[in-house]
Amino acid sequence: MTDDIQARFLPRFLLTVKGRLARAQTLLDGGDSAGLSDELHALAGEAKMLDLRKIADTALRGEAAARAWATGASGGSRAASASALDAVNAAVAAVAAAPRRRPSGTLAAVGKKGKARPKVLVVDDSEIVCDSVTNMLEPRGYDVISLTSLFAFSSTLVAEKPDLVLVDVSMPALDGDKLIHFSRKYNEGGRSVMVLFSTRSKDELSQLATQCGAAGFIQKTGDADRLEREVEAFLHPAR
Amino acid sequence: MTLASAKRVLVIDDSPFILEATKAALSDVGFEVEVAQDLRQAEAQCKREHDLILIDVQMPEAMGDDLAMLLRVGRKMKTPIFLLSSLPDDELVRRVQEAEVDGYISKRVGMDAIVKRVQEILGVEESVN
Repeated sequence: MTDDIQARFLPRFLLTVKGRLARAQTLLDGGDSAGLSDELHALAGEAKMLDLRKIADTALRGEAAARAWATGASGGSRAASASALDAVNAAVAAVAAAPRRRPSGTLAAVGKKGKARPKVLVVDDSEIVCDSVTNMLEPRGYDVISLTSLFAFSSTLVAEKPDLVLVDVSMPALDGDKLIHFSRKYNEGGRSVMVLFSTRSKDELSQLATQCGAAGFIQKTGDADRLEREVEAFLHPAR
Repeated sequence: MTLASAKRVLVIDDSPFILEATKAALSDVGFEVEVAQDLRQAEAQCKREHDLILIDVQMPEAMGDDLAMLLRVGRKMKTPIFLLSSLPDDELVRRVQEAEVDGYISKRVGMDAIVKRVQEILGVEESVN
């Protein structure tokens, strides 16, 4: 049972923990040792619930380090807390990078209703986001390819001919809307549906999608049901 | 032994992630699960009948053991109340005694053990799932 719960909620956990780690870094930078301790305590609790022991253990050590820093206890310091936070980041990255078992009772082996599995290409500089999308969609009958850099984008588009392309808007090398605009020549006959993929507001994404010629947008989510519904709406707009 | 489907569990925790995961795990074995993420939701949910209330300890608006004490001592609530936390066991033992609640379940034991503990508390047979 735990394995299923872990597999089902791991993508959501990885998105949640990303936010917690960002807040923890901000608290560390701002010298808020008590806030840092609370944030790592919450993170440890969530990790423990999913039996992610390495993450939980490093988070608990980080919580202790931050508490020692807050109370002026022996060994407590910003540097020790920073080092502990690095360890939590490393533990999370290791889990995000590890191959994962799919939840049982899914359509993974047969594809959607016995048909060929739709192919989805995710372009996002965050490995965690790519991994989360893969783990949400693959068990539901999709083949997911992910790219964390733009290096192989055009060749992947031509070679793989994905049915749907999810493009992150904010990437270091090139914004996703510009990528979609410039890559139209590689998308023969508009075969691949190009969609912006971001946490930005609906209004902003709608405007960007119109400007760059994308078919629309999907807001990033850890909710696999919602993501599948939105992906299906682009793959089968008549439904 | 009674059926899990007859039992209603309320989980109060400020982490939406923990609420979702706990609800899924307990629902999988047949419990009816309701959740509250803040005091306003907890207030509304506590007006309904439950067989067990699980309360996280460290929440932004209030400490869970203070909330538990308010329900148990202030409102004379008879429903079993357990703290659900990743604090060390000795600290949870102390908080349970001070709040006069029924016990605690450590988040540190993982979801499988949490579900089993809830089944034990409520005298429910293990699911065949």
